[in-house]
Parts: sequence; C-alpha cells; structure tokens
Amino acid sequence: MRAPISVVVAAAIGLSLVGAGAARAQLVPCHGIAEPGFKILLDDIVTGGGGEVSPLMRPLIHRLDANLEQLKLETGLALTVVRCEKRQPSDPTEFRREIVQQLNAHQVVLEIWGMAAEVVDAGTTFHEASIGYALIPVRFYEFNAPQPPGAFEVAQRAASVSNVDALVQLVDRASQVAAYTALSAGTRLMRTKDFLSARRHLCRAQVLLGATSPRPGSPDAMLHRYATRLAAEALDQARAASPAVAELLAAGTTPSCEVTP
Amino acid sequence: MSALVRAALMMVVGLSLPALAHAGIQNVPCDRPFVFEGAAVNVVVLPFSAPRALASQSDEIGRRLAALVQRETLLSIVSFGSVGAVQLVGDPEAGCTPEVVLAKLTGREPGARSPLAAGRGLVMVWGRLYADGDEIYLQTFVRFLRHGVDEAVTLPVGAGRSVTLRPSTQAFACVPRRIARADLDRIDAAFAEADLVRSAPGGGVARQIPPDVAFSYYVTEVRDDWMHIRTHDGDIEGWVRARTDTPEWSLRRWMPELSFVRGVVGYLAYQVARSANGSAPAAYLDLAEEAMKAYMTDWLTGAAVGDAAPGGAQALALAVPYQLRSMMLVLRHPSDAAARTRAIGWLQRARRHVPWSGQALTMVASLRAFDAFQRNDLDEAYAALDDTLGALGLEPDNRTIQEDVQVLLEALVQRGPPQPPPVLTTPTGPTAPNPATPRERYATLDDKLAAIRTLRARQPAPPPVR
Repeated sequence: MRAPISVVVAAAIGLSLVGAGAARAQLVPCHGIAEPGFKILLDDIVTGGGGEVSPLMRPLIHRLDANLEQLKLETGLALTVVRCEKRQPSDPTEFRREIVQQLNAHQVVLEIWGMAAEVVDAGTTFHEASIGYALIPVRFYEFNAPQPPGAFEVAQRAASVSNVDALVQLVDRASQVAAYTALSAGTRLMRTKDFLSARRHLCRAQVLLGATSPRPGSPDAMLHRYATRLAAEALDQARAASPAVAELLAAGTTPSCEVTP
Repeated sequence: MSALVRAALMMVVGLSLPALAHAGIQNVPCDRPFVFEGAAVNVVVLPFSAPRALASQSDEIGRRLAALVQRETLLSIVSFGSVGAVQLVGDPEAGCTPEVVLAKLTGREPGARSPLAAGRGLVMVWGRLYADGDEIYLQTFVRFLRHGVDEAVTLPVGAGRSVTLRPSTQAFACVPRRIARADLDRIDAAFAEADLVRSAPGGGVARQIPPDVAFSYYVTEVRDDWMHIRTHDGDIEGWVRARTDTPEWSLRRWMPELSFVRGVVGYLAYQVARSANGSAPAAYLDLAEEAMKAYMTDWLTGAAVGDAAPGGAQALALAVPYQLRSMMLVLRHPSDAAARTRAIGWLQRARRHVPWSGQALTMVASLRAFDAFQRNDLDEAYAALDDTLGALGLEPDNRTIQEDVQVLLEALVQRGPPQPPPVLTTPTGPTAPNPATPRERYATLDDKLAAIRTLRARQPAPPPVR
C-alpha cells in the first residue's frame, strides 16, 4: 500500500524549478500568528514559471489541508493552522535567523509552502511539485549546525503529464507532517525544560520518521537521527531532574522509543 | 437561519425520546446544533465540505451526502435501543466545524439548541469531498465520546484496584477514497429517492420532505432498506428509503467507515446502558463486533492516497477499531480466558500499527496484567509491568499510563515481594545470576511505587473533560 516516496532536495532537480522560484515573491508578513498556542503556517502553493495554473495545484492544496486537519484531530494538540495569503518563500535560505526567531517566539512550529509546475525535459512535458517545510524551532535552535536541516524542499516529478493523481499520492505526506510537527514541538519543549512532554513528542517523531524508512542522506533521515538523539537526551535530562523519573525509567531499561511489542 | 427553520426547530426542542425510540432530524442549522435529549447515543453528521482554499462547487453534493449518511446510519443503529441521528447544515467558514459544534453540544460554549446530557454518547461524522476533473476524493473523520465520562473499560486486579483499557484516540481520519464522477450522479439519485415519503415501501409517493426545513421524525418500523417514520407533530407519516444497495452502487460499500460508526454506536449504547442500569444487552456488543469486523474487512476500499502500513498515516483508522473490539470482547466475556487471549492478540496488532503510541502499549500491558492475575501467573504480571514502564518511557507525561503503573505496582506489592535470583557464592566471590523471569528482575517494588506516587503528585491537573 505504501507508495515508495522518493523525495529529492529541490536543489538537486531541474533548473526550471529553481528558476521559477527565483521569480517568486518574498516572505510577506503573515497575519494571525500572534494568537496563542502552537501554529502551522500554510503559505501559497504557486505555479512555477508564471504560466498556466498547474492542474496539480488544486489537489495538492486539498491534500495538504486534509493532512493538517488529520494532524489536529489525531494529535489532540492545541494547534492552529494559519493560512498565509500571498506568502511565497522562494527557497529555504529565506528562513534567516531573525525571521525564524520571530516565528519561534510566536510558537510557530511548522511552515509549509509549495510550487507546482510543468517542465519540459528532452521534449517531454512533466508535472513537478515541490513542497517546502520549515521546522521553525529546529531551524532556530540548530541554525549554525550542519545537520539537521530545519528548512528544506522535497520535490517529485510525475511520470507523465496525464498522471497528476500519482504525483499527488507521492507528495501526500501526512506521516511526515505529523512527524515534523512533533519534532518541532519536542525541540521547543526541550528548551523550556519540560522534558517529560518533550520526550513524548520526540518519541513520536522518531518512530514516525523511522517508519517511513527514509533514504540515507535525505532530510527525513537526518531528522530521524536528530529526533533519536534528542529523545534520548530528553530522557537523560528528565532522569537528572527528577529522582522519581530516574527510579521509574532506570537507565538501560528504556533506551529507545522504538520499543518492540 | 430562516424563520421557517427556527419555527420547525422549536417544535422538536425539548422532545425526549422514550426508551427504545429511534429518531432522526435533518437540516438542522449548524449554528444551533441539536441532539435528542433522551437518546443514549446520538450520531451527528456535519456537511461534507471542500477545503477552504478552494472555490467549492461541491456544497450541495456535500449536504446531500451528509443527508444520505444520516439516513443510512439511523437505519443501521436502530438495533441499539434509544438512538438519534442528526444532520447539520451550514457553512464551515461560518463556524460549522466539528470543534465548534462539539464545544456547543458539550456545553463548553453556548449555542446548542439541545445539548448532550452527561453520560450520553455522541458520534460525530464529517468529511471532505473534493472533485477534480473526473476524480473525486472523499475523506471522512470520526469522533466518539460519552459526555464527561472517561472512555475506558476497567479491569479489577485485586483489593479495589483496576487497570484500564483506553483507546489511543477517540478521533481519527479514515482512509481517503477515490470515487468516480458518476458516483455524484448516484448520490443525487439516491438523495432524490430518499427525499420522498411513500405510503408503502417502494409504493406511491405521498409527499416530498420539505427542503431547507428542519425535519424531525420517529422511526416506528424498519423493513429491509426502508424506515417507517412519523414526524413529531404527526403531520407526515410513511415510508422512506434509508439505504440504496444495488449491485452497481451502495453507500455503505462506498464508505466502509459507516460500519465503524455502527459499531462504535453499539459500543457506546452498551456502555451508557451499563452505567445507568448496571447491565446492558449483550446483543449490542455482538452486533457492534459484527459491524467493526465488516469495517476492518473493507476499510481500504477505494483507497486513493495515504499510507495504511504500520506506523503510516492511516494507522489509527485500523488500530482504534482493533482496540475497541478488544474492549468489547472483554466486556462480553470477562471470565473467558480464550477471549482474553484473543483480545490481547488484537491489542498487539493495534500496537504494531501505532508504534509511537504509549497508550497502545499500556493497553496490551493492562490486559495482560488482568489476565495474569486471573490465572495467578505472577511472572506474566511482572512482564506486563515491564511493558507498562516501557509505555511510560514513550509517554512519561501520560496520566493514564502513570495511573496504570501505580495500580499495577500496588497490585503486585499486595501479592508479595518479588523474587530476585539468589546471590550465589562462587570461588571468585558472590555473583548474581541473570534473572530468568521478569519477576526476578525486581529486587523491590517499594522504590518504584514511591516514585510513581511522587511523579503523579507533581503532575498538573488534567485538562477539562471533553
């Protein structure tokens, strides 16, 4: 059943996407981020190349919106999805330190943007979609670290112009969206020293990312490693902060979130 | 809301259902949501909507689909005593969302015309319907609860202590499904048929159900796919078609989650009756199990996108039914060891589908502990303690898991001290052999018991009940 999602970092794919991205608008302010609670920002999904509206755009927005509704429902997180009209990041580097600092202060955990485009390669027209994810707390707290990537794009190309449905399936990433949100929430909770709650979110992120069997070297693989490390740290810190936790979750008895049933 | 709709609603407000009555209401304005006061369980169906970001052309088809779901659901749940099915109409952009409706129905916000009484069951169904070219995508969402009641099955483990079985979640997204454009025409046709009140099943037309007006009725008889209804004011009486099952098309085949809805209504009806009367008809559980099984057989019908693999995006849509089936099996056969073994197997399957859920792991552990105490198998009870502590490692802030750890520790302490392996004296000095059983891993339980009590005392108060 599982689709073999083979995502690639946008920088590694056709120049047409990059070129189209450069023509996009900058990060305009998003109203609605001042409300309390964790937030996910959903930016515009734009058409690359400034041409016709891609037939991919509408189903893509629909799936993203449905993914986010599922996330809110199933995690029980007090999570608000904020639609940011006309906000169109051109690439992950636009999430500079001062920008993510401000977003982090407003409890934004994830920002999603995207582009759909028709590209011509060797005389054949394809549909391509590129979705960007900025895990705001990860990006902010690990800004100078080479890994993990706090902001990145994943892209996919449909086999043919008529196979939009297959492309939507490949970019439908409800599990990853849930994992990114959990990882961002856990990263944030680590900084506020709420280690017990952090552990729960980080374990969820670790297991969800691990279940997708990410390709080595991919953003998801790096995030999985990061979640694993941080989840272990959360447990260590919780033990250090509380003798009761240390007694209940003695070192060596609960080393990993990926418990075998 | 039109004056006509308000007037119609006024007529039905305050009507309470007699025992074993079944009632439905259609076209209830979403800004003043409604449930039948006397019903043990109400199913509330919201309009199926298109995403906010799109200019929708699906509003009317979404309303019609919700009406068909309400009617089909009512027909399928009449076996469960006093039940109601409500179809809401409204615009999600104007507050017709599950969050707002739930807040009103449970009294957290004002605005319900008739709120849910304490202890009564509620199943909410809503969804997204999106047409793109010849393809249509449908995704349904479900939430279930009893108002103000912790949804759990408690299992005594001695001296007034009980472990609990609670599902990983009480709300989940069903598998997104792809349907054909032609199905929209079938919805229209089924709706047109369902909108007629006839003098006999399949007989001459008596009259059409008035559009855009709240239409409230009792079900007085069921015959195959037909329900005999009588409006609360007695003005309209006759037969309506509640189900369209043909070889070509069937709503319940098309939406297998309707079987889940039927099953969870049966479970809730059983629990509501049991809480009120101390006992409940076992047949409710048998019918609910049959429905859950049907859902789990067909749950991937027409799956379009998503991931049904263990740990995947739609894992809860399978794990929660497994968990509910286990809870029902234990309720149905509390003293049957074979039933417990079967239920443990289902919980382990659920656990494999949601490996991130500490709650799923502690469910397995709790039932294993109950089973172990029933059989006086302390080694197995200690193995369950291992798993409960593993669950705590996954979700250390989960109050349910914390409570289960404490209960299990207290129950084990009451049975006597653990049995660590004896220290052996060898030529090189004293040595402790590796523990052969879970029971031998613990030198004492007192420190862990003190620790969990400390941890629980420090935890903040739980959030208000749903």
